[in-house]
Amino acid sequence: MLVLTRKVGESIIIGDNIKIKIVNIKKNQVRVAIDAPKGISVHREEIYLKIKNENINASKIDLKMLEEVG
Amino acid sequence: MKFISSRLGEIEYDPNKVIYFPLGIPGFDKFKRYILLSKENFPYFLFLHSVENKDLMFILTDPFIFVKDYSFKLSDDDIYFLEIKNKFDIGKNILIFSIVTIREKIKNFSLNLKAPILINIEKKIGKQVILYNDNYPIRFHFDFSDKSEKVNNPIFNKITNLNTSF
Repeated sequence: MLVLTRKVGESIIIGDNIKIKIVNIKKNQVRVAIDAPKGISVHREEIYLKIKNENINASKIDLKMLEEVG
Repeated sequence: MKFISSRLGEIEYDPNKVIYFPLGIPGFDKFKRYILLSKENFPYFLFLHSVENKDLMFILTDPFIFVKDYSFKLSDDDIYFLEIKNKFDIGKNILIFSIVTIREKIKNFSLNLKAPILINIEKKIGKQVILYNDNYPIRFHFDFSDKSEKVNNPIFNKITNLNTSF
């Protein structure tokens, strides 16, 4: 894994067209601005993982349960 | 065309009704092609079934049945991705569904309001959109015994041109 040090106002470029800029640092919080091409999704990791996990739960379907509801 | 669903058995479908999810669905990103299935005795539900994986399907429902004032802002990226031209597309060419989760042990149902499934029915493109700023829950619990006015408009009436009954 690549680890870089950046100052406020500095950026990282990933590939040709994804730019991550450090906007602000406050105690243990860092605010970043992400500039990515259309069609590239950017999400907070923990939310993405929750959605993924819920999709896995949702895909375990028991049709009998559904029949009870009708 | 035909495929065998592990839960629903043999399904015959029109390949023109396949909906393409370019990013897949989080957790299952390898699978990108789905069809919508309905059954008359499940008027509130649609099945979003992968045509590439016999075990992979989701139950969808119309979130507006349960949350009348459900509303959210789409990101520019999602608008671009789903080829939404203007707000009048929503509800017409662009349909909004929620994935239903059923948990066996506690016998409860929930809707994922945080990450609705949007489908452009004209272009046959779909995406699970993750809402950024709205405080909708991933698990919105509801009681199905309280289904007063739902029956009037079965969900599959909305998608007559994409629907496959089985």
